[in-house]
Order: sequence, then C-alpha cells, then structure tokens
Amino acid sequence: MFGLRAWPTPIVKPLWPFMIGSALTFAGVWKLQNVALQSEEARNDPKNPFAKTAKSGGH
Amino acid sequence: MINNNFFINSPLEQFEVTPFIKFNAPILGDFNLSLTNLGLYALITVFLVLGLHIVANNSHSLIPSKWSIALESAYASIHAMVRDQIGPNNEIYTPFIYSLFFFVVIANLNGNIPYGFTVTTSIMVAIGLSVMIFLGVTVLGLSIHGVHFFAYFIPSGTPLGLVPLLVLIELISYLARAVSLGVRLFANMVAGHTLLKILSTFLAQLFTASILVAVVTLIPFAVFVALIGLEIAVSLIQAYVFCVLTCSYIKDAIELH
Repeated sequence: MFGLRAWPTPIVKPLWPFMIGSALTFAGVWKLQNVALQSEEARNDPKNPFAKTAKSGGH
Repeated sequence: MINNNFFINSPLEQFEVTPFIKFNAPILGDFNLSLTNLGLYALITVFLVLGLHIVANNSHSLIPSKWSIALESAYASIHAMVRDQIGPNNEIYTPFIYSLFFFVVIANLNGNIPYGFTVTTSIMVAIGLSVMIFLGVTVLGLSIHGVHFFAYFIPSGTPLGLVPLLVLIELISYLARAVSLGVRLFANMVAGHTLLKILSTFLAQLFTASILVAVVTLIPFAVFVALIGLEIAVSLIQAYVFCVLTCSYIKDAIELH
C-alpha cells in the first residue's frame, strides 16, 4: 500500500553526502552556541540559561 | 479611548525566539533542552506536511480526490524540475528536493498566519539548511571526482597567468553559496513580515482614530491586502528558488560545470 516495500526508493544512496553535511553543520552550530553562551555579551544576559548572575532571593 | 491603549512593539519582535518549556541539567556539560516557538513551529510544519500527505493519499480510489490531484501535480512539477536541472539520469535526488520543497513552502505559508512564527525567518534555520546543502554537495563532488573536483575552480581555457586569480575568485564564489542560499530565503521572509507588521500597526491606528479616517483608510487597506497576496507569492517563489538552486548545485557537483 505504502512504504518502502511498495516503492523501494533509495534513501542512503542519494542522501549520504547530505547526512555528513548535516552532522557537520550540527556540530558547528553546537560549538558556536557554546562559545556564544560564554561570550562577554551573553554571559550576564537574563535569557542565557547558564547566566552566572545571582538569583534574586525570597521569590 | 482605544488609542491610548495602543502599545507599539518593535516590528522585529515577531522574530524573537522564546522558550516555552525549559529543562536545564548539569549533565553533558551544561545541558539545556527547551521547546521554543521556533521548535514548536518546526514541529507544526512537519505535522502539516505529514497531514497533507495523509489527507491526499489516494487510498486505492478510482477517482482521486482534489487533494490527491493537487499533490500529484506538485510532485510532477518538482520531478520535472529535478529532471531539467540535474538531468534525467539523476532522478534519485527527487525525494530529497521534494521534502526540502515541502518543508520550506509549508513553513513559509504557515508563517503568514498572523501572530504566528515563521521558521524560515530564523537565520539559524535558513543558514543551517544552506550550509548543510553546501557541505553535502561538496562531499558529493569530492566522492564522485576525487581530486579532479578542484578542476571546478579553473574554468576551461584559462591562460596560465590568470589561474591564481581565477581560482581565488571561483573559490570565493563557491564558498559564498553556503551563505547566499540561506540569506536569500531568510532576508525575503524577514523583509516581507517586517513590512506587513509596520503597515498593519499603522493601519490599526488609523482605523481606530475616527470614523471618517477609518473609511478613508480602506484605500490603503486594499493595498495592504494586495501586499499579503504578494507575501504569499514570495513564500511560494522562495521555496521554489531554494529548490532550483539546490538542484543546480547538485548538478555542478555531479558534472563539474
């Protein structure tokens, strides 16, 4: 009815270069994000989940 | 007075990525998992694409539904594009281009709904897609041609003296593809959405000023409606252009000019 058995389309054969490409892009974005989170500009930003600012006490 | 309650936000505020659910854990370094508006709308896009294909499933009907005919016609167009651009021997790339087209076009069209978020106005999504395609195409070219892939940077018939200069120019133009493909999509979507936001804020103020002004404002409002139509056209055109260029990059990698 549907699926790979009905239409055996190749998936890995045309897509493997793009899989490598996406893995490299993901790794690059991951590194860039970690560097950017620790940058001087973002370190104390309240939107930064790892901001080193002191939490306001009491509430 | 309604006028006094107006709160004008920056027209760029709609592009901000804000988390809905946050999960922080001190594992794997500083691990942070958030569902942002970008993530939610990316998921919505994927479900819309899947839903469209389930709705348009022919289900062995002798007479296909209108959805089915529309989808088959879209498939025929994309198939023809791949055949024309990459060549009839490389139809193997049709599923890739097809899924790319449907992701981008549904993300763009879904973004035209007011108060929503457009996935492709995120520079990380647009540049991420284009860098992924650029790296994939480069790996593809290197795997097919090996070292001869670098002949791509020297146009045929170049005098020897000009080779260093031309290689530099060709290299820069090749590397620029990684950014230009994404920026083209991102910039078009951001520009259109910003324009609509600015004009709609202005029109809302005019409509609530007085009855006479509101009646006169119907004329610029007609132009605004036309601009919405233009924005929908841009959504479709940019998805098409993105796929055509991806096809031409794949063709360059396979055939080297």
